[in-house]
Amino acid sequence: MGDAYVDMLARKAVTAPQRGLDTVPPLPSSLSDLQRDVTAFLLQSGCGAGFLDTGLGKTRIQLAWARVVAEVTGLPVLGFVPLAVGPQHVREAEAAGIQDVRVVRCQDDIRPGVNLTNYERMHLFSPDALGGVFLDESSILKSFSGVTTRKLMQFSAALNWRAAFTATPAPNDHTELGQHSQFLGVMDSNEMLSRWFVADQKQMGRYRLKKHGVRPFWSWVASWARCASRPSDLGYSDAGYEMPDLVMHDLLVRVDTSTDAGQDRDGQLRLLRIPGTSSTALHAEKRRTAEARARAIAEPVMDLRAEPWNVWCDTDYEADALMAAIPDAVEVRGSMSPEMKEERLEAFSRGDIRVLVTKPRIAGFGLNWQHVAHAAFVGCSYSYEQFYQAVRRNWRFGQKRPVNVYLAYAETEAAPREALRRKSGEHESMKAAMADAMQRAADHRTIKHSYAPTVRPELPVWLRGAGAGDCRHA
Amino acid sequence: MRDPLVLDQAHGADWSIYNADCVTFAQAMPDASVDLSVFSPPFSNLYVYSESAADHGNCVTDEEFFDHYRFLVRELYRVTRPGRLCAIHVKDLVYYQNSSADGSAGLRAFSDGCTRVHLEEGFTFHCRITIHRDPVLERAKANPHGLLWKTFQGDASFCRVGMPEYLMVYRRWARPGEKALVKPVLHPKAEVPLERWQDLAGPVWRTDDASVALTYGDPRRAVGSLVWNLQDPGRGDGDLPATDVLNVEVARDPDAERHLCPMPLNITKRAIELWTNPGEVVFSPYTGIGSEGVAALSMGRKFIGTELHPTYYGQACHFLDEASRQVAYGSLFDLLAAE
Repeated sequence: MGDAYVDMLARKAVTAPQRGLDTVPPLPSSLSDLQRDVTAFLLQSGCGAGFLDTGLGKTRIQLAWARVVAEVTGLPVLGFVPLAVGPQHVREAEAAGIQDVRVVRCQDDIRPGVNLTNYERMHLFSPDALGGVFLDESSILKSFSGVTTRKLMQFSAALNWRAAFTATPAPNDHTELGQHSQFLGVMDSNEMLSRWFVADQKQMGRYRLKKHGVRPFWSWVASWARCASRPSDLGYSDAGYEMPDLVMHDLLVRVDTSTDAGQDRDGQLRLLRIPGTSSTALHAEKRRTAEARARAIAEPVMDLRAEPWNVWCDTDYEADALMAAIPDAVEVRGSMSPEMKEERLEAFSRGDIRVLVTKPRIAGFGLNWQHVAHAAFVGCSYSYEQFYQAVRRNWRFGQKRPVNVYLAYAETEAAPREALRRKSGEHESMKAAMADAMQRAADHRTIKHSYAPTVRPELPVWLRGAGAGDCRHA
Repeated sequence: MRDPLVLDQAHGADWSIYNADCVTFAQAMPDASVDLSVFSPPFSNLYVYSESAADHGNCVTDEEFFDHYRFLVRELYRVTRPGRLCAIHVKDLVYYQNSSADGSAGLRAFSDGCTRVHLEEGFTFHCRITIHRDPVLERAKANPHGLLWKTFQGDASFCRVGMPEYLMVYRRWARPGEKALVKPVLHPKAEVPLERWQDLAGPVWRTDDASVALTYGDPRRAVGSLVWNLQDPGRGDGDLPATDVLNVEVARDPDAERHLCPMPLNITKRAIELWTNPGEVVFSPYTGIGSEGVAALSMGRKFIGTELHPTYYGQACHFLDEASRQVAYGSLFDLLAAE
């Protein structure tokens, strides 16, 4: 009876099952200790995630992981990567001494070993003859439609070996973490939400981690993922991983609020325009100020003529305004063919294009542009995640110079700027909770804190009861 | 039997409380030692009070809650005196579209789930008291889709009624050979007039929700007017003030998800008045900040309770100590008055 209760309590602690290798074969000597540790962990768990910030060696880890899975299963492994990232991976494999890595365009191209393709080409492949699958920059799933994500889940469901790699998740990003845990077959995202999150009525029902959920949630994540924003998060030295400074330049654009002032509820004409915080009001305001913001960005871009620039926008009309204001800019737009996008992104990587104008949702994931130390955002959206990912293209380990980020916004758009500032602070505290959990996982401590009483209770004299006989329900 | 250890304990002449997991503690209590259990269980996963796996509120699904709760009910049955009752304060729970797998929304019959567990562990279903709650105030507090005027205009098929609370009462019948343990609860005509009994027998106890707006005052406020006091919806109505609870401000744990839900003193007192004799033992496995204990002591009963959360346990010690001193002063005044 007592043991049944202990068993029931034990069932309440949750960890992901270990479905992988008991013993991990020798890994390439080109891997660092951290990379070796994470690779071994993912091979042991079978289905796991590497939430590693840019520059910690995600590419090497996934290639080493895929190589072992291909050997163990005797079947080829397929990796999905963002546009233009495949060739970067092949170069990395050569440098790390990992054999049999290639970019493929359809099922027939697949050969034993590690095969890489774009997410956009998923429909040309079938999981039947594969040993395993991995996703590079899996955050990108959020910029695809729900259909793509569901297809990817279906594609991978039958495979016993799955891995996903992306930067450390944004604060409270339950969509991303839920998608990952579901993709990996660890837990349904709905169950994850009801277990550790609460729909905050003050925030229009948006989910946030329960206060008491923070510790157990990250402990659970630590049972199927490794998260690190720097080597010391996993107990390694940060030497050689110093980050250059990130310098933010706010370009505040004055606007004439006396035009389009509109009228108030009673039909009274307004003297000044009062921008709302609703997305409709914000978009109207952004359209009005797009040209002025593009001109503000063009100024430093033209001043620092010898420097390559990443210029980010959220909409096509902003891109048009930028293209008009910056003569030697090249644009990558959503409506272009994947081939054309890839060609231009590659050209920018090689240094053949000086100014690249594009959107974070197109090129904000996976590309390494450490040769660029100047980035500009022509506007400020509410998505911290996209902003963060875009900045990380330049501001990453391996960047030798301070990174200058120029952010143009109209004085009527202060609300999103403030939100960005707040979310950045939340991100830091969430990273601390996550790093803490990784340390606990490294210490092999238990997941939920247990009940450990030490005091012998004295029962009051008046609590005598019937004394004799067993009163249990038969 | 497991080693029945606790985290901490505190005692007064007529009360004992333990900072402990209620299940392991109850396993160490003697058979038939409790005359009435009255408490408010955690409402499944509605609130999480602590990280501890032993916290009954720390669960994901109702199913997981009931798996855990069952261990307590099994002990409750054993420690309850044959012929006596266990009264629990519960409500049904809503679930929302964004947390359901199939996109539906509605209610979870949590109170019925509790009944199922109590029946399976040997109790019989004795009665259900509905505690009226004002739907207009519920709308103002939680803005539920089913209570919006807008919903009523748009598609009233989504409209529901307000969510009442219940006092669900279960009885442990004496089995053959236990007749000697049965002790009747007596209410001499001289002490409880017919009118009072008719009032207590009402199936719906109306509480005065309007006082929700008031700041928490004297925690031991006397039971309100016994006269039915029906008013327009939105102004609250009834004879039991909803805020007749211990001062919750002082017991707030900054990490606890939202606030604790103290059991209303007036509901507890009615149950104690109806179903115990003076001097008998009242038990609450989820003592919280000590509401049931304060109610029991103020009515000359003894109290035993457990609480897992150290902050609430500390507050309960404080309230019970104060309550027993008040009772002592009270009887001193009675003595002086008698002279």
